[in-house]
Amino acid sequence: MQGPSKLAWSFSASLHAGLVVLMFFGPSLRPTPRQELPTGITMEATVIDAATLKLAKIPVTEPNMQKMIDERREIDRREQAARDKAEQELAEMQRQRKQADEQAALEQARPEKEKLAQEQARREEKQRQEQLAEQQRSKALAEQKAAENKAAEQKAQREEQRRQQALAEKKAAEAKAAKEKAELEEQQRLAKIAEKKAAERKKKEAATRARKAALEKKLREEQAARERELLAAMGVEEKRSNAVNSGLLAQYQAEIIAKVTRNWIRPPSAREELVCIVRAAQIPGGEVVSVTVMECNGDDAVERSIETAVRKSSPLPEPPDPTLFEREIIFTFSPK
Amino acid sequence: MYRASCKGVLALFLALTAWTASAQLEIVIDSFVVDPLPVAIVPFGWEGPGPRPYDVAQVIDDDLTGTGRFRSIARADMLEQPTAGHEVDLADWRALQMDFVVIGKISALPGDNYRVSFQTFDTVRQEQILAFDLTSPPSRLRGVGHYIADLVYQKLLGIRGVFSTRIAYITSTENRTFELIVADADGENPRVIVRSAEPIMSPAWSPDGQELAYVVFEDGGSAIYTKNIYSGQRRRLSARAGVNGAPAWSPDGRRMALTLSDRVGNLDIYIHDLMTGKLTRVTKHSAIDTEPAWSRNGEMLYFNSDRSGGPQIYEVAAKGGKPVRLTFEGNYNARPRLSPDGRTLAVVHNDQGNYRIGLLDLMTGGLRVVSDGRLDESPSFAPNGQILIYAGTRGRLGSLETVSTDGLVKQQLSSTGLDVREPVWSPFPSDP
Repeated sequence: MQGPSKLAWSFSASLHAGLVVLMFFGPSLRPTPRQELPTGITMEATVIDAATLKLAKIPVTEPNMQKMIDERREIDRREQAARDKAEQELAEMQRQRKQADEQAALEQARPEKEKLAQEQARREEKQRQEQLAEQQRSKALAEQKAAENKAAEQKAQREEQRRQQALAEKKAAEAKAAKEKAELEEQQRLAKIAEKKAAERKKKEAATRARKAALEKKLREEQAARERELLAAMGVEEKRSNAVNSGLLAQYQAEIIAKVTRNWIRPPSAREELVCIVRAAQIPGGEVVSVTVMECNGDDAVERSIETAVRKSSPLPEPPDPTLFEREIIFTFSPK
Repeated sequence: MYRASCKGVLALFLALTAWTASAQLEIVIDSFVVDPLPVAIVPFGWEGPGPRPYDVAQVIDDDLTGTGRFRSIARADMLEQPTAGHEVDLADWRALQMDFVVIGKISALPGDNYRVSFQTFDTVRQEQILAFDLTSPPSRLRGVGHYIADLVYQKLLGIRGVFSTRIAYITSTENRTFELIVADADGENPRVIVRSAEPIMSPAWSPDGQELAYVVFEDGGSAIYTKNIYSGQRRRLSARAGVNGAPAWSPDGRRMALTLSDRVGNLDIYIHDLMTGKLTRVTKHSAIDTEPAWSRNGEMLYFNSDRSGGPQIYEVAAKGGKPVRLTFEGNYNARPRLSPDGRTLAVVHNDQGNYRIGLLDLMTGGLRVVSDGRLDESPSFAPNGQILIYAGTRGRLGSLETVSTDGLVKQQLSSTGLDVREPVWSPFPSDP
């Protein structure tokens, strides 16, 4: 940017210097009087007029017209010639002057030119220097850049390494974290299970307590009911003992014994001292609903025969007095 | 205050307990009936080509009802005849008052064998109590029936059945052909073991049930032989001059007790060691000592002696010693045979002019008559101790009779039309 502006500046400066030179020499070349010339003389002849001006100082005589005309012609010719010659000379002079001027200008301009050249050279040098500097700078810059690149590269490498390492570390950390997390979760899970179990246990215990409490309550209630029943039974019991005393119980028992005996086919494996105790449950109407051998010194066949005897006796005879009915009957099978 | 209320509650509780304890009816059953157990034996199904190869159910039915301890139901009276467990309607069988139902099925197996499967149900307790699969060749189907009868018998009576055992006995024809026969316990399937033109007597089983000892008359005298009933191998044990009689195997099978006569014809008890052939004299009395029987432990011998005037049962140590008289009831007690449990001696007892089978309780000395014939003889216990077989008299011929040891069930074995004597019941087969 600096270069082209400098060149423009040095060109304009040399142009002004040329104009200054022209203004200095001009007045000397300008024709001073203006003489009226015959028609036909063109304005172009201005410069020649100046030469004619000098020649017109010769006096013109009128003796012979032809001669005069001839003479005139001759003069004209001469004058023409002279004018031509003068013109030529002027042109030459002008040429020479111009050349000289140019030369002079040239001469004058030389140091300027040189100066310009020098300036140019200086500028160029400077430019060169600047270029050099620029080059050096760019080189340095490039080197720096290269260095920087290298450094950057190394840095990048290091950073990549660091990154990798960091990544690895991060991964390790993550793995560790994951592991720890998993362990933690497992612990939490176990803790949760334990908690849940504990809760369940607690719940169970609570349920058990509740059940127990309910059972105790029920037992208390049953106890109370039994007590009430006992009091009520006192009346029933009285009737019952009347029935017993009047021989009705013995009659009831005899009826049961007869029926069960009829149904007891004692197997031959029965030992002589056989004693089998059987608990039977009946419901009103005498239907036998369960038979359980409590203890028996007989074998399977004997137990089977006894259970069969009781079951086949269902329904058992009904008591002659309803107060004699008992839900539970204990049979003792003990043949004589 | 608190203590007082506690005591009150306790007193009430005790009162309640006492009342509750009294709130039961107590019944003592001290007798029973001897009715046979009602068991329905349903005809077995048959899965195979052609007709059913054997009526196994009939064998079971005959075996069980033959003991008198079971009664069955006629096939025509059955509401249904199931052959598989899922077809059994226990309610129907209860309606028929059958306490037990036996069902089964025979199916053909490759190679001429049969599979017999059977089940037994308790209709009162409503459960299956027996289920077995048995494989049998065609010739053994009857044996399979006996085996099933044994299993049912044991399950329901608590005692091993004897339907797979055998009996040995002597037959004679009018043209004096004598045979020692071995037959199934029901009298079926008789096989001749010995045939002779002279009388055969006193058969006795070896303890392993493989051999029979017997007395045969030959060359004007008597001899004791043993014979393997399977191999037919025969061995002469004793053929001394005079009497060689009444052989009895010791329980270990190593010795034979027998009766021998001395030069003057006096009979005494001897023991013949079957390993060494050594002969040991056990009794030495001028009276007749004969018909020895071993105690269970093989240390004592029971025998018949008329040293007190008439035949009575005595006991003597097998190694010799002073005999002890065991029977005092009546003027005639002979032919002692020990029960398998060692507690009873079966004897031939003169019961007011009739010869009958009596059972002598060795603990109490009491004697109980269990037969009701006029000339009953030769009692022999079945190996389960539940039945006695003996020779009775039907018309002019001897017959095979059985009686339960409680005297309640009497049966006659299928009649052979021959004069049959001296039946003896085999031991249990070693492997069913």
